[in-house]
Amino acid sequence: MADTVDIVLGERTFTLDRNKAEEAYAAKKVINGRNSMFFNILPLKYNWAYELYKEMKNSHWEPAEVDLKVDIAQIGLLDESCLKIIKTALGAFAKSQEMFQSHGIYTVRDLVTAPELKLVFGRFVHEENTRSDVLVHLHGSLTINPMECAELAAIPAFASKQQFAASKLSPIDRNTDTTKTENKQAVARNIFLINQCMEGIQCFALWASIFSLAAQGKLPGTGKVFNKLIGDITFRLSLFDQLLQEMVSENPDIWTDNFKDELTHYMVGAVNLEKELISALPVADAGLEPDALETYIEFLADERLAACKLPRQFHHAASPFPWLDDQIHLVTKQAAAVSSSTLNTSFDDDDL
Amino acid sequence: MIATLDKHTIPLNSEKADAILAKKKVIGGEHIPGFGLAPLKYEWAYEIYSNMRANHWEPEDIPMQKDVEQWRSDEISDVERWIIKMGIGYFSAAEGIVGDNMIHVICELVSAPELELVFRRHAHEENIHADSLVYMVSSLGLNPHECEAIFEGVRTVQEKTDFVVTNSRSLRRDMDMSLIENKQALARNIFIFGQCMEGTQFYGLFGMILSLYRQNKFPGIGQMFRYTLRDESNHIELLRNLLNEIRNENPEIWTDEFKEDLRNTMGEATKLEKNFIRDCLPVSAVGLNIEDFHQYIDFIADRRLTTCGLEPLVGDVKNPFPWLAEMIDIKKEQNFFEGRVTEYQKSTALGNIDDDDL
Repeated sequence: MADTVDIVLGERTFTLDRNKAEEAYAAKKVINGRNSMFFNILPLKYNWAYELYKEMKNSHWEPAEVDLKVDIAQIGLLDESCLKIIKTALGAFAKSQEMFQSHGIYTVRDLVTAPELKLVFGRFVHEENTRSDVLVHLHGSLTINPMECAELAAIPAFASKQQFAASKLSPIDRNTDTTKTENKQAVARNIFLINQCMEGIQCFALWASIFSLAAQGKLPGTGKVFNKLIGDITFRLSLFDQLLQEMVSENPDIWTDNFKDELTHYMVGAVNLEKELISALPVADAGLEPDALETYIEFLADERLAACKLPRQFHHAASPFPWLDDQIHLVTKQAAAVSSSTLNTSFDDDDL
Repeated sequence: MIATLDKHTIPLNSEKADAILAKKKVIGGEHIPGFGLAPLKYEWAYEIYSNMRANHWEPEDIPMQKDVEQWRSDEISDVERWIIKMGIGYFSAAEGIVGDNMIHVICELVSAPELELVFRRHAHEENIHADSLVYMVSSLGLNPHECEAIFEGVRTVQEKTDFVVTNSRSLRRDMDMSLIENKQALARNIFIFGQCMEGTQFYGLFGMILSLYRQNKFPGIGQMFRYTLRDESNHIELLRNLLNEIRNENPEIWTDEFKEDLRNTMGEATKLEKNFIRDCLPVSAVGLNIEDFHQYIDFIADRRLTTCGLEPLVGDVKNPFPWLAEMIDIKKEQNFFEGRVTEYQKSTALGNIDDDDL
């Protein structure tokens, strides 16, 4: 049976067992595959994961390379309300990993078995560092005290986000038995909550305010930094959309109607949390009409749901802020159908 | 109060800054919510991080045309091709093991933001190294099964793998880090991964591939391994500093018995590496001999031990391969990454890093 080849090198003989290697390929699975710390990425089973990794690394950016000269000149001249938005945004951004319970991603990495998936997850560690570099660059260049920002971000609207995530996430760890349906669902639930509901929706009122200010010529460098950060988030959203779908196709027992309803319901809850934030912020002073911003969040939630093959809940015909779609790298399903062939190259120069 | 980071000054409230500093410990530190990087407690960590970030490289920046031409030509022997396949096969596994240990053992146990930062960077570099191997396989059109299968069932390779994997797995549990034996277990893991594995056991195959490079064979692959080696020297230094810091903060772990235990662990690592070289590496094909190669392993192992404040195993060993030390001295004119600083940035705070590298 075994297809073995003996390779003789001088006095040494090495036996290659092709069947064994091919079995290793067949054992690649999102969860419950061959469990190894080895990084034998090839032969690829999940091509999309390596393609995504390549897109991510081609979009490598260093926060310190974003020019903040204009922002430095403007910061002392900004009105109180806009300054408050910026400082609140920095404070919220600094604690967003706790707010979103993002450390749960490491548990998912531990449970995922295919090496190419571990590779693309590995970008997350780098992106966490980018976030830290962003804070050093912005606080240092604009001479803003991070502790003052943390106080501004100590408001109930942020606390309730963290509470929501913490209360809904399933307590999984590296020892969780992922052969049981309820535990597979726990992994899928956490992926969906952390990524789609938290990182994909929360604080977008703040990011939108920053982009709105930048569109008015205020703090354009800061706008650019957040544009790139949301670019990283967009890659992660794409990673987790595809991971979820791959998990579901390998484990169809996950995807029950009840489970789909449960996830959809979380997204509706996530939208309400963000509306709470909108009412706590002077977004109108940044040039955003609060009602339209609420509609935008609903529109965004529908896009997140659709990407995960879950039913839309809000059914808005069009984006209330098409200019914002560009800033947050939102390619709607309709637009994607038209321009999917250009997606790869669009990151080459304009984004870097 | 102000904190200085990357030539920036960041304003801070003194009282809160003191509270942040008080939370920073290697073992038993507290999680700091929000932006807790400033003020720095472990300046060395941020400094090494800045170096690592400045040395960022991506495999595709390095041309592989010459390697592909050579691979297909008669000027390369089968044994030389075999060495490349071995390098790819071994490091595909090894880089994964190291990255996994960084993410799931070290990063889980440290909490000071500057430590999280630098160890996440460490894990990220393992990703880059693994990706460089993918690039080599795809450029040369190799059968990846073959590179992996080379080591299937080779006992001395299995022993090298078990040595690190068993240790890493044993730390993946809830550990009461107030207990001295658990502190020592973490310190041993840091020593094994930094000094024994990345610091010593990577060097057998590094030596083989770089001696081909020295003969102008596989310049692209050699260049990537030089960059990898430069990254490794940061990792070795980083883990050495971490071990040092744990020892300073927890002097009770540094007993004579524990020091002897670490020396014996290195003794085991060098034994495994020498067996591996004897069984698997066709050293004469690259113009080297096995005695020199074993001496080289003793030489670097002693260096690792003495820089950690431990007695050498052999003592007074000469470096038989001084050329290998030059291989990681990457000159600025080789900067083919536009706009990136690739020259190794020596820093006074890391005064002995260049000395310790090889």
